[in-house]
Amino acid sequence: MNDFVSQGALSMLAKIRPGSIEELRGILKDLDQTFENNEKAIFPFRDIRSIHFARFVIVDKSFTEEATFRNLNEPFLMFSTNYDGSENDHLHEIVEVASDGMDQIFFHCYEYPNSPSKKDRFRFLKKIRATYGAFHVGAQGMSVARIQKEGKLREFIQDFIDQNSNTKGWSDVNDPQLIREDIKDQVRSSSEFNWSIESPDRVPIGWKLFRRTGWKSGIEMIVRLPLALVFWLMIRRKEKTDKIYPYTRYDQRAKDHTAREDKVVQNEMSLLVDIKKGFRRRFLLKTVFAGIETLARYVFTKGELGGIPTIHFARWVIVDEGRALMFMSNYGSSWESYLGDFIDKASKGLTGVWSNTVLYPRTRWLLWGGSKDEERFKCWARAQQVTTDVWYTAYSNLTVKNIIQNKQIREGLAAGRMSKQEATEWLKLF
Amino acid sequence: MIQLEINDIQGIIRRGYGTLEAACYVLLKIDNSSKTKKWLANLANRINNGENKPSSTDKCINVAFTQLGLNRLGIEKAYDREKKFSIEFEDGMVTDHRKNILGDLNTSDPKHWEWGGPTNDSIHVLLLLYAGNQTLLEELYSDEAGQFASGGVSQIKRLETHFLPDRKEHFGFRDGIGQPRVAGLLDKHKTDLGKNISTSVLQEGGSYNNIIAAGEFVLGYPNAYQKFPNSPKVKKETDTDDILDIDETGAKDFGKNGSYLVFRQLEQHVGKFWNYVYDHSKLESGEIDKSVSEKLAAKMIGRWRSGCPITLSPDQDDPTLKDKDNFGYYPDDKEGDKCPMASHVRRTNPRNSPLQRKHFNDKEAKNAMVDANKHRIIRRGRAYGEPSLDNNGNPTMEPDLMLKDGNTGNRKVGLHFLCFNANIGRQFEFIQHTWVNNPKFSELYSEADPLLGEVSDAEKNNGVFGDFTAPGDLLRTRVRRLEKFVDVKGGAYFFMPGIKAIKYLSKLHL
Ligand code: HEM
Repeated sequence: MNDFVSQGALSMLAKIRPGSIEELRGILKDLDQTFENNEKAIFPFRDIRSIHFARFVIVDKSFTEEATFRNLNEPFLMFSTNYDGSENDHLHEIVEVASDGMDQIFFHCYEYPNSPSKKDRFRFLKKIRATYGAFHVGAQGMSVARIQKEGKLREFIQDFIDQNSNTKGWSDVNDPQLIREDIKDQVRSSSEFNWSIESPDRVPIGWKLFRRTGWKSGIEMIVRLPLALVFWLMIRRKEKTDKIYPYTRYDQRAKDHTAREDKVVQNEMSLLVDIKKGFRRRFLLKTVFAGIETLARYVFTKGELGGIPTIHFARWVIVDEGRALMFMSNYGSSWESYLGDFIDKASKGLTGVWSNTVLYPRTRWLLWGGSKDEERFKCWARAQQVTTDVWYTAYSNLTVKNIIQNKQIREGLAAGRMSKQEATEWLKLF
Repeated sequence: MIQLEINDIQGIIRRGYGTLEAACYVLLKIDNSSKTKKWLANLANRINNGENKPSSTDKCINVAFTQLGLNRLGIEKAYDREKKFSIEFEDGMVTDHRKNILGDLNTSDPKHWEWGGPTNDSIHVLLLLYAGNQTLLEELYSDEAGQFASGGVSQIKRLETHFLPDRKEHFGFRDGIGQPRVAGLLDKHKTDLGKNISTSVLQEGGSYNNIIAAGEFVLGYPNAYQKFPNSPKVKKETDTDDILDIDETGAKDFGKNGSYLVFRQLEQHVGKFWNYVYDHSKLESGEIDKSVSEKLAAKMIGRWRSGCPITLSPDQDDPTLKDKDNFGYYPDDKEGDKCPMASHVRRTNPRNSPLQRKHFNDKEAKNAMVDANKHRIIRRGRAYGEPSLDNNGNPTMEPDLMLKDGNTGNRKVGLHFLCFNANIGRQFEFIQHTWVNNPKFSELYSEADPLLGEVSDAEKNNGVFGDFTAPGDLLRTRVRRLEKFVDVKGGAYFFMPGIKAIKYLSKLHL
């Protein structure tokens, strides 16, 4: 568990059989309400140890230029996960632990085999997986197990500090190094936490260079850039007259989504919107994705996506045969603050993506403006939101900042001798 | 050049009427809308507007409406297509989701409210009455109440206020100090509101800046994003007397010069608060260390009882700073060693403090200031309920005397919290949800607002809500299992229209 483990995003799209949507919705609704408390729940997410976040979303409509939804010709079930380690190991674990759930859920989808074997199930998942356009990880390299354990470690040390800050006269001696040693002793003598005295493994050099497939995106971006520039110039004229979202107040539909939000400190969001028509738009979109993907792998590695500090995981996937764009994220704050960050902190990157989708607020050169039309942008985002049917989080009481701070606590605990200054800094983490 | 129409904006938005120590709020229901319109036509001439700075002999009236009230008067049929009020206002304060956002759970659940809740009468109009003393207020009230019947309205409730010594609230802290300075309302700055505020007015040195675009509080003017905030528009033909201004697109702007008014009745458990503070300030002998308790309470609020910001005077109170509002947290207190991140004032207005350690630099401090200023409110609340009395029978705000007063537990005291903003979702609700009730504010783990946070479920949530940490030079001080010191007893979202808009309403015949 000390290892650096890379995180991936799987998006599995299974086409739903005609007439099955309502029944499937019922199954998912039931699952959503029961999986945490009912041992017999068909899909025991918590037992699949490689999952950080997962969701099922029935996708049967997309947001159009008329500010309404169109029905998809081929509705699908989106099963998405954020996971640790290799994709195959992760899929094997799902198949192993959740075969009942898979059977009941995917029974309603095309190409799911009758009375499948484990191998069939594995092959099915492999087959329906789609590639994402761009993917962001908040706490890179941190496995579920490590996140949870380090969370408990912090609480253990906090309690120890509570017990001793007065009685042991720590404040009298005023010596941060000594306090740190006392804490280390306490941790060392605990069979539950003595693992943390050892340093976590270093980040492997291979990862530092290649970042999963990050390097490929970098190359892709460079290859696409010249043509993208030409399209960019050509689209400038059109963008001045493209239709924009007409309203600056939330739609009543927003209520369906808000009803699901704010049960814990984390929230989720699934958005689905039509991509503007034409080859150039799609080309530009893919170029922007390659750019974001490269940045996400090499630059935004310290917990922030373009300055947004609350995102655990986020991804864009092109669906519906290239006609629509789906965005899925897991974030640790309120909708208002999350969307506010889209506007105040990461406007250009996000505008770069969504300026290629319908009814986006007025942009300049595809990167400027856009989300800066604050009320219109938020209302546009709410309007295209689709309801997530089932949502699972492995650590609902931690934010990205918490996870990174816990990691710093752990690293500081495991480190060798510290100077007075360093020990003081470390104690500030509590 | 865009300038505020101050004489069309109701006075209480501009000023707190500090000279008028007596006030009451009257909740009304509309029984007969055509009579009410006649009443409003008349009332519009009695409303105090932003030009008039009242003296202590004045009596001032202001008025606001709920969505239901405006519907009664016919606004629904007058809307220019989808250009309506914001959804927060339309839905009102009490919805299933809003309970989570606002933390109106358990003992604060709207089903227990005294007004505004699902079991109470629906509210249409709010009349705010102010006068220099109680006698004048009663005169004003009886004059006004005398017209209710003929005005087609009936009184649901009259809410009293009580002016406490040194402008304090019931826990004993000076209140009403931290306020935004609204561009265009400041005499010093004859600001063109069409221009970017942050560059067109003087910065007050460093990264700290408290001058906020008028459109953050008053509809019809550019906001912090240099956009006109969403505002309800009405069809031209409904404005037969051509009373309303037109907006930048040529539509009749009903919202112009109006502001959303958030009203919450917050009951304060004074005994519980000070007992908690005292219990956590004991020496080993069991005796209470007053220097510790004063400091703990001040850390929880972020100001000493006098009003002095603890960030400027961290070790003891300095009453000469009691009204100080022109200060930042960066760089001198960036870590919160003086004023904890979790304290009430720091989290309701983080000013220029970056909310992450790794952002402790000048550039991020400026960004933090700009961000924080997108979530500001103008507070106009007043305390209610009698204070304790000292041995000479005078009102006292001393914690010891308040605790000695055997009645503290029985007497219902609290704060009628009123605030103005142009976007309830981005301002009031954001503060309440993303800052006050959020145990993860800044880089915290389990610390909602120590005064207001929803902590009833703390045990169930592995104590996720109920901690309070004051960072120190070497080690932090942490207290746990905070109690619920404040409960919500009522509330509603109102809209306080411009005076012309009230005249328009009075003439609205569909
Ligand atoms: C009974 C409940 C409350 C009490 C006793 C209380 C008390 C106080 C006190 C003593 C201050 C410091 C004095 C000052 O700066 O004016 C203050 C400031 C403030 N409070 Fe409250 N408050 C309460 C509820 C609320 C609520 C519900 C909100 C908003 C959601 C709020 C927002 C603020 C803001 C924005 C400031 C000014 C911060 C600054 O600019 O530095 N308060 N409050």
